Amino acid sequence: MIENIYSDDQIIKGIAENSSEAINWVYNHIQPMIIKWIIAKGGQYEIAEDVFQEGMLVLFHQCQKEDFILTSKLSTYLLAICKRLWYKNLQQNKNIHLEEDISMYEFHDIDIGIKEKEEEEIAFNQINKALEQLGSPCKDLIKAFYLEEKNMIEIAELFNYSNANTAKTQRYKCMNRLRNIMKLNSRS
Amino acid sequence: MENYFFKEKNLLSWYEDYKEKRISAQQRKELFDFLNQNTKAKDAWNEMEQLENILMKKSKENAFIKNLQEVTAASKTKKKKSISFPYLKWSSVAAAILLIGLSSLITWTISNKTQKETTHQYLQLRKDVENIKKSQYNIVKSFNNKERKTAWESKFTGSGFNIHPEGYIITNYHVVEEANEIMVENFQGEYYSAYIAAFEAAADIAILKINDSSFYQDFKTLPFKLEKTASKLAEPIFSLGYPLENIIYHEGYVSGELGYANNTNAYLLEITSDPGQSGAPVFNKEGNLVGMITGKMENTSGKTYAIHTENILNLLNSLPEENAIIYKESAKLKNLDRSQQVQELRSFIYSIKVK
Repeated sequence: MIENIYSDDQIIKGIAENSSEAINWVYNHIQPMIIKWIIAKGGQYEIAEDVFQEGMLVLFHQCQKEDFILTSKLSTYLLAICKRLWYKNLQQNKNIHLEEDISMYEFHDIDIGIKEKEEEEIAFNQINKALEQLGSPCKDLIKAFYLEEKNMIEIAELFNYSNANTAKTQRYKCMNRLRNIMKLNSRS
Repeated sequence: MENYFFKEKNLLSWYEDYKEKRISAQQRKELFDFLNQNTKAKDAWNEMEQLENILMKKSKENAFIKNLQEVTAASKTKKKKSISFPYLKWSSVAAAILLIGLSSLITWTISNKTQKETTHQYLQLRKDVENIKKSQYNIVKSFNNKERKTAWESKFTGSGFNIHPEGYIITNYHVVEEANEIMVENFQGEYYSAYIAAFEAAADIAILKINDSSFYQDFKTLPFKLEKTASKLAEPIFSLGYPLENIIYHEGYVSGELGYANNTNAYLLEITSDPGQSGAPVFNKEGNLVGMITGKMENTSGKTYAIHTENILNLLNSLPEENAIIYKESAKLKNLDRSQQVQELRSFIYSIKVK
């Protein structure tokens, strides 16, 4: 089998840039080992897959940090992430005590990363709630720009603004309104 | 510009101008002075930035999830093929690697085919060929526990040479084929990480690209030429490589016109070679590149195999246009004596470290 050989650092860079090839590489080289590990611990295949995907999201989050340095092989690191997520999953669902292995404590930054991701998720849910309160067209405009990645020219057409600049000003106004709603929400 | 311009109700338009980079350095300074003095405005400013950051992060993450699910779905439906590059959503650099990889695959299969034909043609000699195969071993040095420990522990080492200021290092494919990670070290002991940019397994050539933006070897033209025509029997040659931690010079002559397994694109040289010298360049008396060491006969110190430079030129020429490696050569060393030639050449020789 002929395949490009990548170093772990190249894969990390690829993940950070959302490259399909890098994801594919991890999928082919590391995913089977992780799935196997989770199944060995009594997880079902579908759950193992979910844990792996969640692990990839944590890895993606970690790679985005400018000061992120891989201190072990990528496979070891990703397995450590998935182990934590798996134990977390078990503890939440069943409330059982688990023997955790020592490797759980090797990468302190993983715990921080998982926590940051959870916090981001909470913050995003708050934004989502505020967006619903904001109503159309602001809600749709913000979603179109930030979440659907439409550019301002497309948005101007979509929302019947005369040009991209007007749409942009409108976007900032909407963001400001969103900010005010969130402020009110946090007070109550 | 005076400070009264900055009022809280104007903040939004200032935020917009700032984000759209329509603001001068002077205005920027005054704006931040204003914000630092006015906590209420500063809080509002920070909240806006935070909101945008969270939304943009989420958007990036959504794109990643989409990609992840596509890859998952694709690997589930697709039976494993030997090679697949399904999604070409790459940065330009990565795309370049990809294309080189694909092109080398083509050359690989072609040359593999011709090799098969040769084997067929020399069917009667197969046994001998097998024997030679066994007796030839790759000059890859294995690191024992006793070896000097460096910060970066390598499993194998080899040699190679640079042909481009941005760092395109040519070495043997067998040195790097099992690599998880590749580092190259120059004669001053500086390490750089590298990846395989192109290779030709049948000819045992790999081109490594130094993957470090700080790397730049300052030269306008190579001091040597990549000699298309092979050296003749008995012509004197010399080689520079890294069998040890520092660069080592050896000299010898062309002793046979066929390489191992009767390869007509290779030589047999009479020159000392040791583990670690795989990929070392071979130069003629004018200082031009005439080959690259690939291996030697077992239990001898002098019977060394090297491929012709033509193999390297063929690989370089087979690269697609957008990934072409443009090197400039010269015959500067022609009238220099040997130690002057080596002095000029040594900065082009690299130690290849693989783990």
